[in-house]
Amino acid sequence: MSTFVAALLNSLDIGMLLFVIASGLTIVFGVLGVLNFAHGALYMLGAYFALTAVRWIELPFWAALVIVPFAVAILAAAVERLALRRIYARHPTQALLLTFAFLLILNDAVRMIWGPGYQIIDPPRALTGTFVLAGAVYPLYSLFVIASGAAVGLAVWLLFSRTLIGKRIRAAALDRDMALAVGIDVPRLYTLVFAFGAWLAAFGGALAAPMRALGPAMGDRIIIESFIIVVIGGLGSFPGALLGALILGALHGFGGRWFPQFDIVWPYVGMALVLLLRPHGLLGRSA
Amino acid sequence: MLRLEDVHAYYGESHVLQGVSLEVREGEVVCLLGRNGAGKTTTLRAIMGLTPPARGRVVFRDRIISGLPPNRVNALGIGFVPEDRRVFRGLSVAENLQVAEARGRRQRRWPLERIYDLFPMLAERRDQPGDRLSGGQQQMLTIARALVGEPDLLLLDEPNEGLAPVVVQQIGRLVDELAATTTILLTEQNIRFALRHAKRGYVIQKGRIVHDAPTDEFRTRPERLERLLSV
Ligand SMILES: Nc1ncnc2c1ncn2[C@@H]1O[C@H](COP(=O)(O)OP(=O)(O)O)[C@@H](O)[C@H]1O
Ligand SMILES: [Mg+2]
Repeated sequence: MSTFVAALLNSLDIGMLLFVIASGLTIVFGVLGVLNFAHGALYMLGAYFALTAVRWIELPFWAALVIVPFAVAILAAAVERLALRRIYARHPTQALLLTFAFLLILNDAVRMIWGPGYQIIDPPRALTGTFVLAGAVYPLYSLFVIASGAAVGLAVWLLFSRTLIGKRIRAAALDRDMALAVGIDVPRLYTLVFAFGAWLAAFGGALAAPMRALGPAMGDRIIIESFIIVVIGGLGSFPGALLGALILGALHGFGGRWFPQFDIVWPYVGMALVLLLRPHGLLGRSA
Repeated sequence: MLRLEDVHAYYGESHVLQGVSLEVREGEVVCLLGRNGAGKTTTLRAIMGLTPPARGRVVFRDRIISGLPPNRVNALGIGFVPEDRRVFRGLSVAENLQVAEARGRRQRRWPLERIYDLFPMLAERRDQPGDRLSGGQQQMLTIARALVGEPDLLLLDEPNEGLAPVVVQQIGRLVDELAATTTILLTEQNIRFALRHAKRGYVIQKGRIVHDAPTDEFRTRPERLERLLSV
């Protein structure tokens, strides 16, 4: 029983973290039609910015968690304005290549600035403890990750379903020309959405920093897992990102506990199964 | 109010508009007639900036608008009702209107209450997804969506295409009603609808204006137009 609860909580904290990150990837794809290869690098940047903020600037972790995602979002907005915007009209592979270049630049920049070694940061004092649930001892910080993921997910859902700007973004994603023709400033929304995707990646990075070792390859693993999630859930589908992330979390949480030697394999097995049975993903639109 | 001067437009390599010139004066209802593929839609898209003219210019109220992005053109007071309706599927009726509302204007001629008065059918279905509506209802929604943008000039692209005769009549009445306060440029293949509701017409063929029908001829000698359209 206690191992089951531990595996469940573990699945949830991995799943909710992945959900925050993958939702950024899927939203950017759904609106801009760009699969952002640099999304994992932005996640990594969020983690390293948090490291710098906490260790060198000595900000409290909470402040870092608020400020860091905005800093990364501003950087992403600049990239969209200066580079990405110029190539939407061309073949989609060009945007893919551009974000890939962005990924390489960020990866090397992280290595240059923070070095190739692994680093860790401590969770904030209020969350360093553990709690006991059904006989299993569990870090308090994991609970915080689960709650944060749920809160961000809810906020994103409210943004897109209730606010004017969210509705305009949906209109622009559905029919770009018509959105322009009814007066929506679509290019500005594209910048905002790309920046928001980066915000989600960086928030995930800052959130993950106290529970994962920071290393210059951390982004590569995350981008692969995020791709798998959006493929499982359906490209461009926000609920699909939640479902895919929870599935991947469960594969790690349960699969990793009982068959740890296969931990790296599970996501691919899951993705292959979904692709075989539902090529557009579980919640994807076939079109 | 609106003037096109020798407008050329391309889709990739194909030269679709080959020097379109036309004029719409304030308060007029003008019809652009032409067969399928003649370039009617492209002319309206060129005005909106959706297919920016490669040569020539579009002047709206003494201001050159060719080169502006479509959202700026819309903000200057030009509303666009596309031919294939194109409601935002997945957005509700109310949301379709909400995203298109002109904000920050002191005087609103088309506040939502007035829209819902004019289209009670939309009020009843305001929470339904836009793509659940019938073809005629979708057409009303796209017209309403253009109106909440507070246009002074309305571009209607084949508003009757594929709709039942009852709906065509409704749209005709609506055009007459709107004409009292709004300048309208509409496109048509069907000369009867044009004659009934427009004051003047142009005939477009293969991307060129081949005939400019002044008011009297437009009404008294429709055979000439008929001939141009049926060639
Ligand atoms: N997106 C497009 N790409 C290439 N050619 C197009 C496109 N849209 C229209 N055309 C061509 O441009 C010409 C004019 O089209 P259009 O303006 O839609 O005519 P109309 O509205 O009068 O039927 C036609 O020959 C059509 O085949
Ligand atoms: Mg047409």
